[in-house]
Amino acid sequence: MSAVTPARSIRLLAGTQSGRRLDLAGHLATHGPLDLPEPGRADGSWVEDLLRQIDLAGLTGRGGGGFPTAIKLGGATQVRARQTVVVDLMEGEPAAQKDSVLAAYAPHLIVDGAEVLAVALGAAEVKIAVASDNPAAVRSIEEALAERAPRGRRGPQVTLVTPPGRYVAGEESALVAWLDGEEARPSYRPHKPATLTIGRRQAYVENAETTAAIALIARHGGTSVAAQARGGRGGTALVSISGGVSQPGVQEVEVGTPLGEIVALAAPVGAPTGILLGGYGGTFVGPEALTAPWSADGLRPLGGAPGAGVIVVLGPESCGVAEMARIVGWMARESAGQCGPCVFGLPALAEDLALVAAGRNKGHIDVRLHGHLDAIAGRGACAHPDGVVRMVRTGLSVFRKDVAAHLEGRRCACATAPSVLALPDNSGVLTWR
Amino acid sequence: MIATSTSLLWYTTRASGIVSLVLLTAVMVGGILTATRVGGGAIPRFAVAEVHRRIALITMVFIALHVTTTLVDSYVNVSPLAAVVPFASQYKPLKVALGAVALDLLLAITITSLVKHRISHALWRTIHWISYLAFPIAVLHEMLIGTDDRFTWMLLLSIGCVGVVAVALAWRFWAHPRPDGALTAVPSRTAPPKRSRAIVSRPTGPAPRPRGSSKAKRP
Amino acid sequence: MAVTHELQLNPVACDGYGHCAEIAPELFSLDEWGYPILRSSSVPPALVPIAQLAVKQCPRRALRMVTPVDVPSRRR
Repeated sequence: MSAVTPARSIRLLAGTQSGRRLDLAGHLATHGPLDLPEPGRADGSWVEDLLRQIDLAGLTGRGGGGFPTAIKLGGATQVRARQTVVVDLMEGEPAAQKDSVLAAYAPHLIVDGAEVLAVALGAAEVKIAVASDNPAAVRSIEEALAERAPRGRRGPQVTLVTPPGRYVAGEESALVAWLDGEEARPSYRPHKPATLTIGRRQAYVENAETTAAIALIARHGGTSVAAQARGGRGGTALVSISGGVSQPGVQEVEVGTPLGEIVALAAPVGAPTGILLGGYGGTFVGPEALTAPWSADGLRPLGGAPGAGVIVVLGPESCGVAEMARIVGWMARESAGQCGPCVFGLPALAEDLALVAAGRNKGHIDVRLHGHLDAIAGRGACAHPDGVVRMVRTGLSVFRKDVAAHLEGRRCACATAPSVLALPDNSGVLTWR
Repeated sequence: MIATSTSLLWYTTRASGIVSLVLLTAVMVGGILTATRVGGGAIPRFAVAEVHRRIALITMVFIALHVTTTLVDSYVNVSPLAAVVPFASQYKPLKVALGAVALDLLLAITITSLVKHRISHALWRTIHWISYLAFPIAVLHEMLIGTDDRFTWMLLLSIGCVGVVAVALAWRFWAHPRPDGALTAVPSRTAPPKRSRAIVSRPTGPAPRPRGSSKAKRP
Repeated sequence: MAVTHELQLNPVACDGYGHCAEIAPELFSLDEWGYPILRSSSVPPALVPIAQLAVKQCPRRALRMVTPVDVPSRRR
């Protein structure tokens, strides 16, 4: 595919170089205008065309699920009930900063995308949910909404809401529960996808980055957006790189870029020994994965997925086992506390890993560890414990030499080194409302 | 025709009242044992729960007997209305009222438990907690109305019943300090979180490498 | 066509009472924290009565038995 040189840069973070926040004027200058039909006036062919463009772009959910957006939105357009669009900017994953960065520097792209969704679904209301402990993003979205208000367009009503910033509060059912007046805890949904409702309206929840990508697609068309990728499909994606790197941060990368190239952007300290993809509930891959392209197809053979664009690099200065123990402990404290296997299982798992990290193989800790892994997964109402188990299983595989050494009592020198992970303090009492 | 005033009726009222109190004590203790998940070995937990339910029903039978014999007995003037409406009785209005209130509460608990599967769990549970109100009211009714409390044994029995429930309740909350006495812990959370959320770095724009380049950047 | 019964356990409602594992040990076992592990979600016909009893006795109503629509046998 020949290099496309568009008149405007088809990038989510276009125009934000050197930390420039795009206000409405800057946004329109960078991305151009967006002409949307009035809500309620969008005819079937407009919606069909939008879906086709999203499909051509190859857009998949950027909140972690990776589900094809065209299919999800297509299904929602068939729904007869009134709908509310919910933009999920909760980003409870501490290693993820991309949605926050997007909100802080290019908020209008997100709001544009939300309006596109509202028109497509005939929704009169849009709620943008930003975690209450994320003041920068809250402020930026507030300002963006204030700028748009006097424009006099009869668009959907867009409001900013601020649920509590808990890890699981951004999960679909938890977020919708909060919007419906309950606590932000996930619910038991035996037959996904069950419909989520706020009052009498059905909720359509979309990740903030996906929403912004929809705004790009609505302007430039699916083919142009897709062409930005290295394989011609998928466009660009935001990744958050952290861990043992000297330049952590958010990067916009072309889908299909080799993982090693992406990691190099953050200047890792030493050769990476293990990379955690997707988030703290994601998958560990080893250094051999650095040649894999950053895409669903590229990462699937390694058991990984782009997910929410989280890349945590561990290098020679970190002990994989110790870092895993810390993550599990942190995740245990983020449990919604509703299901026994998660409430009791995750702390037990954290304890097992801490013992292994300390090089104390008492009472067949490896047997206990694997027993706990088997006992926890799949027995909660949400995927929180499953993610943790997956992270641990893949981590044990990637760091198997270290694990073996620890079990023999020879723990590595860096086991007590300070953590390179972003693990905010969640040890106190925290709110769910 | 019903013999309207015999010692038999009066003794039956008193006796069934006393038996009801003892049974009610057993129900309260059974409820606490069910909630604290006692059992498992020789007596499975579901059996403890089932016994609690059955004693509760038997208790209601004895209360029904107690109320009926009181209403039928012309020695005391208690109208049927007064059995459920407080202060509607001519005879010892306050003391009978206590009994009526206790009866009302216990009826609510019984009925909601019989239709437990048709109502919300939260509603059933809220009403069930009223048992901790019904019990002392029943005891108060017994102690005040007491035509038997000139007997020391009756006084001791009353104190014993209250004591047993008090100890069981204390055990429930001190030994198993969770809101519903459950062993399963959900730490309660109240204050807002204190974590700060700094943006880690500024966006650096598009990937810096033009397409087609094969030079890898060394860390 | 056989009608298959399926057991569903709501982990949010479940509070680890363990009555189900006592009533129907063929269907449930308990983990080390007292919470039930469903051995398999489909219930063989012979065990349907005790499964129903377990569903009824659960103090938190965390169990449900569902009968997915069976393949119609056109037997009328």
